[in-house]
Amino acid sequence: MILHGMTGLIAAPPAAAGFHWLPPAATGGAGPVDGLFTTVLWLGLFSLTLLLGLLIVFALQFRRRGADDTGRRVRAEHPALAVGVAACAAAVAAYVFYAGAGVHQDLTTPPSDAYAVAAAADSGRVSWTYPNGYSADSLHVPAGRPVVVELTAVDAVYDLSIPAFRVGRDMVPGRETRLWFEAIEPGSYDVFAHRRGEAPGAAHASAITVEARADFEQWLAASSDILAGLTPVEGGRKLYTALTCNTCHSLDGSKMVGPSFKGLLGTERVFADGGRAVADAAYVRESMFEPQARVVAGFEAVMPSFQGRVGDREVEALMAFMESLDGDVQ
Amino acid sequence: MSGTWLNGMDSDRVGKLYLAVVVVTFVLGGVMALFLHTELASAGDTLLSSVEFGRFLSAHGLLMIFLFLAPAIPAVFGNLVLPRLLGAEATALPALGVMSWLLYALGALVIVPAALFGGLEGGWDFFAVFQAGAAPGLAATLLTLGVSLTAASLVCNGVNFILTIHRRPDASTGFYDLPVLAWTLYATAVVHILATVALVVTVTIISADAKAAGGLIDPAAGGDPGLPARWFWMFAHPFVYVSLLPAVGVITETLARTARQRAFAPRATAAAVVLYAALVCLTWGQHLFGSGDDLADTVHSGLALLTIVPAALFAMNWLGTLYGGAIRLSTAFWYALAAVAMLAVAGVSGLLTATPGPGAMLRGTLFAGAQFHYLVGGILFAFLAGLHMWWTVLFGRRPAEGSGTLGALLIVVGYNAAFAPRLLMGLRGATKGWSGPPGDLGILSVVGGGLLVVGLAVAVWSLLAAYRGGAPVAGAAD
Repeated sequence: MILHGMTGLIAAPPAAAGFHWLPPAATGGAGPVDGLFTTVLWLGLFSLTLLLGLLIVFALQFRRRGADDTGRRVRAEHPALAVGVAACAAAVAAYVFYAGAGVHQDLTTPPSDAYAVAAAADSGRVSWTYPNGYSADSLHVPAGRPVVVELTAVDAVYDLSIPAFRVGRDMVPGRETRLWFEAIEPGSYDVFAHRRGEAPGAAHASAITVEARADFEQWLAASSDILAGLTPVEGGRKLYTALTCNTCHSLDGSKMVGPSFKGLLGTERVFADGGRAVADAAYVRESMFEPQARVVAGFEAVMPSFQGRVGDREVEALMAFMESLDGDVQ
Repeated sequence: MSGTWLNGMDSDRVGKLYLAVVVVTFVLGGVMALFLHTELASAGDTLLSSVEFGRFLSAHGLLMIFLFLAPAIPAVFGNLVLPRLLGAEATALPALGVMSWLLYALGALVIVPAALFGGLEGGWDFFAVFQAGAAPGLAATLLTLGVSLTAASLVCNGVNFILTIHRRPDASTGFYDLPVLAWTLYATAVVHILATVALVVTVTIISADAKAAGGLIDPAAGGDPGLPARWFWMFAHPFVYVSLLPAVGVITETLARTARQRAFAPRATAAAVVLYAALVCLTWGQHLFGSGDDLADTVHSGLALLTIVPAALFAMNWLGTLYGGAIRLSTAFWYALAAVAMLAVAGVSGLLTATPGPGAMLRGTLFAGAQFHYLVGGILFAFLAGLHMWWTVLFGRRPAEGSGTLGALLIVVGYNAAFAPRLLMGLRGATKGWSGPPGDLGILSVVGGGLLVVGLAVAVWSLLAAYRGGAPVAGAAD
């Protein structure tokens, strides 16, 4: 499962758009990475060319001229040369390490005001969750703002990489890792998640969409509006599963962890402290925002609060859905 | 060296038996690679389904690494050449050599079917099966057993070689005056023993944890699911990457003999061998870049970068050995030169993967996979250099230079055409999981794979022809 953009990138002949070792960089942090990469690459290529060039020159210069050619004896030991070579190599290693450690430090230290997104990998796919609780299969981020992605996984360890951003990280079950970037230009960029131990060819590709800030805010607001274009009853039905109400509340009157939604509205509720109240709009809102305030007798106080996650529209939609179960509203 | 391998007195026979099985497993692994490359040449599932592709890839890796890469040079040249280099008639404990071969052959008999039919799809680093609290299953259990048998065989070999070196006939020869190949075989033996201890400890802990439901790797029980990966690489990295050292030994001997020189700066080279052996035991963490432990990433990166020091000393040794020599431009020499070139490419690309920053970017890409194949290529070429170098000594007949050099040329061109494109594709972001339709680079890689197979066939044919009817020689190896 690979995006066409990815294969196009690999398939494109290098000369088509000028030769580049790496894909076009799309973040501010990519500059130092590319700079260090280029430095180390040319340093390595120079050393490689020098070594191979000298070996070939020596092979030709000192090729055997006849059966009795024994060559010229050279000193077998040359401690000063060996120390010099080792010192030069150590200096190169120290330089690369010093420069790389600085880049690594920058790459792993997100700014404190970075926009935080959570990512979780499970069953071969990655879901991205925004600060407002909205989750999606694709990632949108604002351009020109640092973004930190907090990573975890459920079923296995995943390799996550975003080539254009020059970042990659493991997604590990039970542990939170993170990466950060600041995308420069709006556009679409490949992101790969490969589950360790899975067959090659199963790299799960999706795309990161970078948008101007205003466009991003607009997209998030529109995408997060789960009720858009739906009737209140339809919206309530969607919320019933989206908010995972279905894990505790049945729709057929049967008792689960919590009371059933069917036949709830308008009935008198008896609480664990002996109090009583009719289940009206105010009661439903209180149950969602302050679930521990009054707990219905016979049930555990395990309902989580949805304060800050849903608003009046969502509560009204859920109530419309409850009413529809009793046949009052269609 | 009289007697047969059955009564345990003939290390020559052990070396030749190793050579036979090593070649068979290499051919098996190569056939799988051919299937894989052909599949990659076409869009969609043609020869292999995606599941079969994953299984073939796993089997190819397991065979090539545990049955060819790790044992090939130490087992073959350790038994066949080391005694001759030291002036001994045989290894110190030929019976241990026989036991080593039996363990190795048994390991191969377990690994091959388990890898081919076991359902493992994720590559040769089979630690992933121990994750997420899942039972490892029969295939993983058999693979663990097979790899353990292979490791045990190398431990037997290692003990045998260490004793052979210590009990060399001319004990007055100082350690620093030993041939570089002896140094590399000694260091490799020590690392194989240490790595095998790590493997035994790892398997014991995992088995005990599974039996006792200890939850060491289960995040739901507060365990760390990253532990199997760390344990696996603590064993596998030194076990596999130390294979470079015997290759360095063979290259050095080949260059020295073809140039009629003594190896240059043998003491500095010996020191480099020891340093590399120490570093290879400490740099397993580079496989875990990006796992979330930034301090560990930095430390492992620094240690991995230090490998530049022994690498530079090896290069100095090879240049100094050729300088002023009387070089016979033989097939063995060209293979040795090609081995140096392959290792140099592996070194430069390894430098990039070890550098903090770019290293994190390149993890898990085709670049990292191709870098490893360049290392394997260097070891393969050194193996071929050694075979051509000592074929006359071992079998009394000299391979034809024409067909030998043609084979070498085809292999060098094919190998680079197969894997250089993968370096570039990896730099552009292609992950190891890539299996999209082949672009120009992908097709070049597939064509290179085909050329490589043709070259290997020519090389094997050349050696077999020499074995059956080559020009008889008196055993001169230069």
